[in-house]
Amino acid sequence: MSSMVVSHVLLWVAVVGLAVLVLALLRQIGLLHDRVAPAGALMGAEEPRVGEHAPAFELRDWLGRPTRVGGIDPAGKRTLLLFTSPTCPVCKELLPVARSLRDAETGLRLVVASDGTRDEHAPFVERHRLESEHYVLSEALGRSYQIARLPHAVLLDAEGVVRARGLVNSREHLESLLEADARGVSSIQEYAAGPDPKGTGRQVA
Amino acid sequence: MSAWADFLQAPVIQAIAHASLALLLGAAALHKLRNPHNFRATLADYTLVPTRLEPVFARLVPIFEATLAGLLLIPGFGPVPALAAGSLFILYGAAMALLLLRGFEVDCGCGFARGPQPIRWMLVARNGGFALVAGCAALSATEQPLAWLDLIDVAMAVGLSATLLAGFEQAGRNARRGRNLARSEGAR
Repeated sequence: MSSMVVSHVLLWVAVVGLAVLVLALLRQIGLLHDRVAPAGALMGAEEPRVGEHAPAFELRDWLGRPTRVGGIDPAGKRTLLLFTSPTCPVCKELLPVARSLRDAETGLRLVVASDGTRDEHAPFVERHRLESEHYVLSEALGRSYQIARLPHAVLLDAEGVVRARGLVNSREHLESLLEADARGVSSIQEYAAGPDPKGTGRQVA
Repeated sequence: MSAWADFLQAPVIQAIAHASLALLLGAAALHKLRNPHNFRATLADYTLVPTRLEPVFARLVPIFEATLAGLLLIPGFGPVPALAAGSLFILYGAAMALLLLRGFEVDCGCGFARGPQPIRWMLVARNGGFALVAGCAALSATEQPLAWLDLIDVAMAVGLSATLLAGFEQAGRNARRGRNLARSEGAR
């Protein structure tokens, strides 16, 4: 075997090895992005703000059932209001997460909101079996909450007061809304930035 | 021009083009077959296929891709598999371009990136590149047997191409996440 052939093979091994190394480094950067992403829902300056009464809406869901958003809940339940869109990839990933949170938490109802025509939403509703949920189409609802980016979640208490809200794109973000409500803060970021208001002594990661 | 033609028709180059396309289509087919629900959802998002035909397309497309992948590796079928692969990449790119022009933001359903990957013009250009490779693979190779060193070249080149493609996809994803992080930092 000539030295040319040997160096030829060795060079290939080196080049492919370097390419694999670069890919591994890029994957590590991706993992770091997962770690440094905000731990909680990203709260902006939209109104109604945390602590304010949300406007009450009497809507009809996909199956025509009366669905109240805001105001006093007759059953004394909190409301997790999730704004989505059929063309939002992250929204689709969050639907099963929101459902599992609703099932796991006592006294929590889920309302999924969007806007547009029924024809635009019919395939989305069928594919994600949203008929069984309170799926409402209301442009007015989105405007009243000043929804600009999706997916956006709002947690209302039984009196219709906003307890937490923000941009969400993971289970941790949705859970942070419930956690913020439990701790009496507007967001997990506020909790992480200030002293523990309830003195639980727990540290947020 | 003749030098380029000689280069593209070299047996090693032809083998690299065929094997790379086969790997690409095979991986795409495998991803769709392992996640049929997601692929059907992607078809619905694209809104270019009638709803009642979505189940049919969801089954046929990965089978077609896998068949093309196999045919690209078997000599004797002439330029047909390569031309069909090129047409498929052009079709996918055209579908993305149409949705981008309509202002849609949907997952590309590409399957190479980990996690959702929204359609963008870079992916349309990427598909154009794949179609070019398919066009090269449609050329006839000069009559020359491959030596064992040529086979090493083919294997290494295909491996390198796959690694570089995955690297570019990951780099794009990291860049998007970095921009989102910068925007969220600004929003605070």
